[in-house]
Amino acid sequence: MTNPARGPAAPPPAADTSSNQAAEGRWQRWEAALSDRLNPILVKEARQGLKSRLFVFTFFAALLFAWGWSVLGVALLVDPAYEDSRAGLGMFLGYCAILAFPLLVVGPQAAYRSMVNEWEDATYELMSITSLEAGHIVRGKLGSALLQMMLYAAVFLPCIGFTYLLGGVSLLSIAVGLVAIFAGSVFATQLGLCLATMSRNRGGQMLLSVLFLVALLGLYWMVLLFVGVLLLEGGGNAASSPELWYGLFVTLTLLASYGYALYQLTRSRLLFPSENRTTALRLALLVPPALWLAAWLAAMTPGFGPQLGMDDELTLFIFSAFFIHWAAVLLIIGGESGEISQRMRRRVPRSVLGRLFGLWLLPGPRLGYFYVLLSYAGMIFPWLLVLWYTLPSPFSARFRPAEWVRLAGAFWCYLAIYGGIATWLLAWLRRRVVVNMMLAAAVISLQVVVFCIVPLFVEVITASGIPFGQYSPIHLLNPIITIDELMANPAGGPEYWLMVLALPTVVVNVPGAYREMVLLYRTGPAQQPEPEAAAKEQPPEHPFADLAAGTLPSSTAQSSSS
Amino acid sequence: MIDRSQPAIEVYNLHRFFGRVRAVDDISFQVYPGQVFGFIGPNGAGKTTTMRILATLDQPSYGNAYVAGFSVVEDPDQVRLRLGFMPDYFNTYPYVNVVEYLDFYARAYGLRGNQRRRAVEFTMHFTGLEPLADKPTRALSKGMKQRLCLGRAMIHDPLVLVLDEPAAGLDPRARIELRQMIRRLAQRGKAVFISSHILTELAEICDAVGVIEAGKLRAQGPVEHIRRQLARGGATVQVELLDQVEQAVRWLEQHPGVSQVERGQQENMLTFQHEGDASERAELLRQMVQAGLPVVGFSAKGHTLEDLFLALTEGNVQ
Ligand SMILES: Nc1ncnc2c1ncn2[C@@H]1O[C@H](COP(=O)(O)OP(=O)(O)OP(=O)(O)O)[C@@H](O)[C@H]1O
Ligand SMILES: [Mg+2]
Repeated sequence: MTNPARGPAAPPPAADTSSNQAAEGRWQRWEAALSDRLNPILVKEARQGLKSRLFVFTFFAALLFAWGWSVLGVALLVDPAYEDSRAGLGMFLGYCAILAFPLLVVGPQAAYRSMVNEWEDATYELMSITSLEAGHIVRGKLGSALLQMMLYAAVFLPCIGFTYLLGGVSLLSIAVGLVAIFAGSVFATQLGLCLATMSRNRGGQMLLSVLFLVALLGLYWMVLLFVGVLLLEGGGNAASSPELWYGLFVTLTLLASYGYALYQLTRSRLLFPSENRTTALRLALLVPPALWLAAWLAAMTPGFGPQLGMDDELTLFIFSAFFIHWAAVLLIIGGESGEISQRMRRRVPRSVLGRLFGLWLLPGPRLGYFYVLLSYAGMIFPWLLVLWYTLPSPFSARFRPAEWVRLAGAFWCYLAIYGGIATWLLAWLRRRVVVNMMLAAAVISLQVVVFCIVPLFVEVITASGIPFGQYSPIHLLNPIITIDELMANPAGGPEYWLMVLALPTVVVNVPGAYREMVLLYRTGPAQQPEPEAAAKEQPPEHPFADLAAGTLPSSTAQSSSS
Repeated sequence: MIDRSQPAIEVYNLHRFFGRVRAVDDISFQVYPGQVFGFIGPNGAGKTTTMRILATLDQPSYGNAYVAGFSVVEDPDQVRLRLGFMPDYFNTYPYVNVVEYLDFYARAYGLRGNQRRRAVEFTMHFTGLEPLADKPTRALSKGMKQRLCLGRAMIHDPLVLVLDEPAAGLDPRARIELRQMIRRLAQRGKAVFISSHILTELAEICDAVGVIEAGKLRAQGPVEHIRRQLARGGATVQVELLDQVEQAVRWLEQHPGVSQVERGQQENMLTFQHEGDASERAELLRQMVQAGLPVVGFSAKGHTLEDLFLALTEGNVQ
């Protein structure tokens, strides 16, 4: 830009400037440049978060505990009776327990509060009409949590080094333990931010806050247990085995992908209703199931799989996770408002390819239903077919592709049936009330009661003489019982009935999806032709351009008349 | 540079319904750069709703509004860059002081480096907050909070400022200072859209006002114009004469600008409607005395904005 006020800030340094001053100037400029690049929310949160009483208190409490534990450790060490090589291990576990509390419990809860406070103090509104996008806000909050984590890490690093010097615990074990705590902390923080957007009334927030705290305490114990078991089993030396690396890699990538999906969910709930709240989220939701499948395929790889001792249990586990993921996605989609803004409609992809692949990612709960069914099928069935034809014979004797197809197909039918009925019901409700995720959850719970719990009661009450352990068709819509039957009985049967039931639930949603599509492609009232449109797209002149750089007018009243 | 010939705010047939409540019901008006447009109306009239739509915090049920030519429905991002909004509540963050507060919003509006420093510096200077730079925002007095709010709204030097009841709860001195700040903003070429209950407040700083009630604009235009409009509807002057009441009636009936001359309840009292301002009334009185009419008393019921307000609004509540 040629604006004089925006020229280079600092005058060229005079020839006689001492090198010391030059270095200082450079440092300041570097600092300013860095601070400019940082996320504004991060800067703000860092300023207030680090000053907050909660952080200061927890930080010093953690320091105090770490110090106390160190003193205790040294005291134990000089005690000759206790002189064995496992002192380092005990020390390390102690430090983990101390470090994990602020990171896994206090930090995520603080992130949750900080987001909720944006509504309670009505600060969110004014922030939302700045140039900050919803994603900036979430990333800023996450970043400030990371900053606090780094402070903790800096403080605990010497302690951890100390435990390593004591011996009895390997570097790998230390790394795995710390990674578990830090990854858990980042994930829990993101979860907290997401939960904070779920309810904007006080009662709901209180409830979520309590539930979240309980979950965090659970996570704290789980992570500690994991670290403890990992270390104690290996006697402080987590062995570098394929299982360990496989498990670690799969867990971390899945955690990251779910973290990213949660980030997109949070972002979409913060966006204005006129904006596209779905496309980025739906794309993000494709990642975790792809990773589940990748983990499964890795376990099926001839050289690698048998080494891991993979079996049908793992397949069932991964397919169930895959199914649960898509069921959760249906819940999220069911909670969509279904309104499509004028603005949204103008940005719908219009190319053939765009329509083919982009349509399923566009807002609309019924399109979303088909997005789930198509994504599920498109992801899993091609692989199964490939495996069916390519698996070497000794391998396929142990793992049965036909069984997997039945399993994946039955799960797909459950999605189609439960999702189809819920989508249809919610579309009907949407004409009467405001639909949200809570209502979608209620509709799905209702189905679970009707399709799963009622048949169980019927069976118990009528005592219909079904011999113990024998499958009864009244449980056809109960995935747990039916899948169990499918796995146990290769003769088949229920899956055909499931397919018969799935067909109408899919068909009944086709007209709705079609209407949504038509609505998306129908642009609103013709836009006023704007001859100056091109000129208008330019950003406004930069602020206070009429003021000279670095100077303030002696009287604002005078300066303004120019 | 600011193009003063193009309206900075355009509102066309704006509607906003909350269920059955027509919070905003077919409102249209325009505000040009350098103008201060006042929005007056009783509680629940729809002022805040209109302002929130302009600030892109709410969507119209029907109709549209434009800021610097950008629609609040179609291009809210462009609108946000050009509009500063000061809501009728104050909010802030704990553990943040005045400079940090402004600095945060400057960053949030994408200002970087020197540009940001200058924006914060200028805003502090403009609002007179310099001595309070390090004060925690939560510890500010009401008047200082309002200044900070105004500072926040103008930190990105927007073309349009939307101020929702900025004078509420301020003492007289703070009100005068606020008024001066708003005038100065208008001189800088801003279009200021301001709402208030304090009607005399608006008379002095507004170039034009709109009177809103139950979501409808009852009247709008320059303050003087509305005054005259009201005067046409029946401004009353009361004259007391010693005698010669008949001659006075005849004299007045022939005088331009005078209408509806009537005998009062007392024998020597007259009332009539007069179009025109105070100086014209003074001239009328001089001419009456010159014409030999024995005027004892002469009183005109002045038209304040309060009268205007009461005359135009009927106390409808929804
Ligand atoms: N979110 C909302 N939901 C339902 N009704 C609303 C909502 N916001 C405003 N209203 C209604 O719209 C009408 C106009 O409200 P608005 O706040 O715009 O009035 P106002 O002129 O700003 O009043 P005040 O002078 O009290 O601030 C009121 O009847 C109010 O009850
Ligand atoms: Mg209001």
